Amino acid sequence: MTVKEFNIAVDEYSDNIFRFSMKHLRNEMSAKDIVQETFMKVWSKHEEINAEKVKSYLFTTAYNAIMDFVKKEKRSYELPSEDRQGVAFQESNFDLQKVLNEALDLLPEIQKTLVLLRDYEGYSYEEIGEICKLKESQVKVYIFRARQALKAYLKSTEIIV
Amino acid sequence: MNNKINSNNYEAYYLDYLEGNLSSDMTLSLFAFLADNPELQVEDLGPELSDYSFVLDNDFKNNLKQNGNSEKIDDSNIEYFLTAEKESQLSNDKIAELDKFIETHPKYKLDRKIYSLSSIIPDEKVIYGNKRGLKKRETIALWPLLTTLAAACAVLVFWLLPNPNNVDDVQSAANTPDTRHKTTASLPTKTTDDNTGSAANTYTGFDSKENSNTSNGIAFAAEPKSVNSRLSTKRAQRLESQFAENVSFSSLPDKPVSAVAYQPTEMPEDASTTLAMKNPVQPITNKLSDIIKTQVDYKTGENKASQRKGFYLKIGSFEIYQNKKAKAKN
Repeated sequence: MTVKEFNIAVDEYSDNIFRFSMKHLRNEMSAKDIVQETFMKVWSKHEEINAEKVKSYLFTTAYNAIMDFVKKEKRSYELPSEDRQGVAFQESNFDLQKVLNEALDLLPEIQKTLVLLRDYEGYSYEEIGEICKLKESQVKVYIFRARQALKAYLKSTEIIV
Repeated sequence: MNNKINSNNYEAYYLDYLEGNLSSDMTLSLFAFLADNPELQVEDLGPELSDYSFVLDNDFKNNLKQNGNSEKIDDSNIEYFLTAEKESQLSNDKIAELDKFIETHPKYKLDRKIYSLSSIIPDEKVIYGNKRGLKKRETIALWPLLTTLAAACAVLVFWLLPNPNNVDDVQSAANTPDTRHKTTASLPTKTTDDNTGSAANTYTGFDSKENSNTSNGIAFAAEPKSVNSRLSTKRAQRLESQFAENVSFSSLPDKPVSAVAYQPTEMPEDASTTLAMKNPVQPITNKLSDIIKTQVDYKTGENKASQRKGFYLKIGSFEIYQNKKAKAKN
């Protein structure tokens, strides 16, 4: 990957990596650190990376960085469940995406990651498996469970009739 | 999955599970097997297993199956098919079957609608603001260019430097067609180098108003005679006398030895044709031409018969040549 291709990747994917990180960490500074670290790591191997696969490299690196960050900080990024439910049920002006994001925060970290990669980036099960080092069948199971959990949450809030 | 779990080997797998040596895939398979075979007395094998209900839902089983989508849709697996539809995992035939099933079971319409709306959409307002800081600068290797230029300059300096022992070398100037009628070179100020004792010729600049066609052998012949004739005789004489103070005229040739002029189409006959001129630095001038995208030519030559020698330099529209009489050999 050339310097030019790397800089194009910055333009095209840094926002995506940032959003992906924000969803996990919910902290702007930490998410920016992840973006910085991700692109630094990819740059350090840019001579070995094919430009066509740089997106996958970026998300794999970002995912690993997020997991490392979470382990290192030993923090739980989940909000207390009673707070989340409170927010959801008190929602008067129903905003589907907002409720969905609340439901997303209820999911286990791995399911959340897979749904984000699927919905945000449109990755296939196989690609998600490569990024998260999971088998395709595992990806499918996790995503199906996540979908059903999201659906159950939305249904419980009675916001869709 | 290489090893299929059956009633003959499930205990071994279970022991592996208890020891923590069973992979997640095989653990799922083991539990699925035990759920499908509730008659097996697995609770006798250890206390942990009795904590599990061994009731796996149909979605889980469908996900384990290699061709789970081929099953007939019913109440027990509707969630799986609704999820599969959301995930674009169903064939058109299966979608049609699902449509029919939901028509006959309208209570699933809401579920289907919720699934269809459950995609997480990225918030485009969330952007990374410091993209510039992530980018890398492209570096251009300048040393080959600089090396080439330095070499070319060195050659030019070598050929253009006036010979301190020969006043004939004191010449050089160029005028463009637009300015030649305005700009002429002034007489050089001659200084004496105390260290060498030889005369060093130095131009102090160009006088836009004056020209000289003096008899001391140094001339700036770019100016047409009509312009030269307009020079103040007084002024010319004064300059000549100033120059004469510093120059030993006995060492100067009888005739003007230099002619510098802008020749847009052809170089003077003496300089280019009568002398057998060659380019001694052809690779350098070619390289220079390529780099600056302008024609660069440089030739030197010497005609032994006429005892004349000189050089010719052309950079784009700029041309300069020197045509002088060679030193008489003793």
